[in-house]
Amino acid sequence: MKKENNIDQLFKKGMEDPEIPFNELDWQKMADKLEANEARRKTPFWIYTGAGIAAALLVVLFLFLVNQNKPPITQRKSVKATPGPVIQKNYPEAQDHIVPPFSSNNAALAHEKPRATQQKPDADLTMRAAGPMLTPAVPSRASVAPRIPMLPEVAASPLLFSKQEYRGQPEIALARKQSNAVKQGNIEETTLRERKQKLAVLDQGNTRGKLTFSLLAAPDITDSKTSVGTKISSNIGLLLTYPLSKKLSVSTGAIYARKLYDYGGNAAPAYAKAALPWSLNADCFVIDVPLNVNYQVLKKKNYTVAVNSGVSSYFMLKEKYKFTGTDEAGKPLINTLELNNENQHLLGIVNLSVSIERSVSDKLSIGVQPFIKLPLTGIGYYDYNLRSRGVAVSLNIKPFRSKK
Amino acid sequence: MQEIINGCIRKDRSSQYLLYKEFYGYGLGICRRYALNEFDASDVLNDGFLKVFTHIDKYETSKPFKTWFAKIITNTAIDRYRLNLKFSQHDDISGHEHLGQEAPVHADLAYKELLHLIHGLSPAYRVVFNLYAIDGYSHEEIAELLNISVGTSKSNLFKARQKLQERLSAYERNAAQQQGKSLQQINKHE
Repeated sequence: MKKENNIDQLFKKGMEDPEIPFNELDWQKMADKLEANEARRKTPFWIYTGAGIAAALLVVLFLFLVNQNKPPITQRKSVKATPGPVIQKNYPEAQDHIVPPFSSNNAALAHEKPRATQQKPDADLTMRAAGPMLTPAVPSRASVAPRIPMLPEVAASPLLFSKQEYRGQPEIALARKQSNAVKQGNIEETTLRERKQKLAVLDQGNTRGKLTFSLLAAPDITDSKTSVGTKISSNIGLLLTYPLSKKLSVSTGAIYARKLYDYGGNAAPAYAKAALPWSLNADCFVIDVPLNVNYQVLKKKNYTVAVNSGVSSYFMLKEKYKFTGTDEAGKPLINTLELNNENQHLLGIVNLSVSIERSVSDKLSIGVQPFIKLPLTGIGYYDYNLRSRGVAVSLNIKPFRSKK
Repeated sequence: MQEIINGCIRKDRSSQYLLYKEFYGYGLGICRRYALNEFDASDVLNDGFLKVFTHIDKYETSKPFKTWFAKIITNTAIDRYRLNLKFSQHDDISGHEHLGQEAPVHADLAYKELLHLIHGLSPAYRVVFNLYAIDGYSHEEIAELLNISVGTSKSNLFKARQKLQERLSAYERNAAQQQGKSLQQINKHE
């Protein structure tokens, strides 16, 4: 026991407060770290607020698009739920239409019809374009009168769908609607061409039609001031762009990147008289989630040029580091470190780029995009101020845009 | 000293530099004991200093700054140790026979030799030995800090001392052999 305590004392005495010469290089790293930390503390005011607003905008936009493009299946569902449907067989075009027996006691239907008529004309058109239509029936005529699908003209008529007209009297309103539909003509009167025109107009107003999907691939060089050598990193990703105005748009998405970089230097001597050289090879797999605002500065016949800026979040999926150094005897020391999902840098990178796009068709364009990514915070396990610069090549598709 | 600390609270870079310079050796000494290598030690030191500079306004002036500083640096080193548990070290310094080649008797062991001996221990033994023997933590504190049982802490300390004792004995044997060779050479010359 006494011997053990002697060992403790020997080490305590010899190691408690060693004389280690000051190394200016370490202070330089410290100063960089302080600057990065202070920059991170200063930036939230505008970056985080701006990014927060942009993110909220995107969420609202997404919800808006989802709602707008959802087919009004609820109407069909509730009608189907009513007992004793009658399949209309008189007219070929209306073969799939389910005609529920109508009665004043049928609460579901009575409830549903006014709701259906409250829809905007555009929404009705969308429904019609989507496929077979629901044909509301009139009680006594259900099995006698010909059922004709509602025509766009009919549905678009605000007068016919006026709430006041049938408030509290859904049966009457529906009967009038049905008869008006018959009076105004039937499906044969609407030519295919007219339909196409209407759909085109409808699609132009449809926000989904404005969305652009960009598939991009980009080589880049990732390094910092103290890097040793140059390695090419790779990126591949999918971006979604939505126009806010004629010139302004927002983009977001996900880019899978493999970042390769090397560092090196001389460590302060611990055991040796001379400084020991070391190097660090990093191989990191990252998901980059950008949130960018794009401003179109030039538009020619087939070309557009835009400047883009925003912030990115890095999610470090895998970080592999290989440290190589030497001990005082000149013997190589090699350590490796592998981390999975350890570091996330939310809105920690500024994106700046210029994009040049050439239209190939109405729906397709190709583009090149020189870019630079500057860190607002230390990146990865070793908190390096990693910057990336490269050129992205993109294929941009507007899948929902209709041909003019 | 208080002036430097006040400067650091104001985030004055020159005051931060002075504080860094003043406690650089002391802080790096702690980090070297816990870290895997020199590179890691410098990195842990700067991480620790960043915490010191960030939270320096919370330092109570009634207590010694050195103690407060040491606690932050040690905790940072322990955080890194936890992370480094995933670290695979290809080159285990414990297998190096050259360690004892120029060793003097252990009573006169210099800092660098002691550091080498400490680094010869496995990370689990090293961290417990450092905390208990050098930094003065109790087994209960170590158990809580490292999320291990008190028994494991005691066992690791025992094994760490045993390993160190073996290596110290090897040093002494080497030293005795060298002394013997030197005496023989002197006798031949005579």
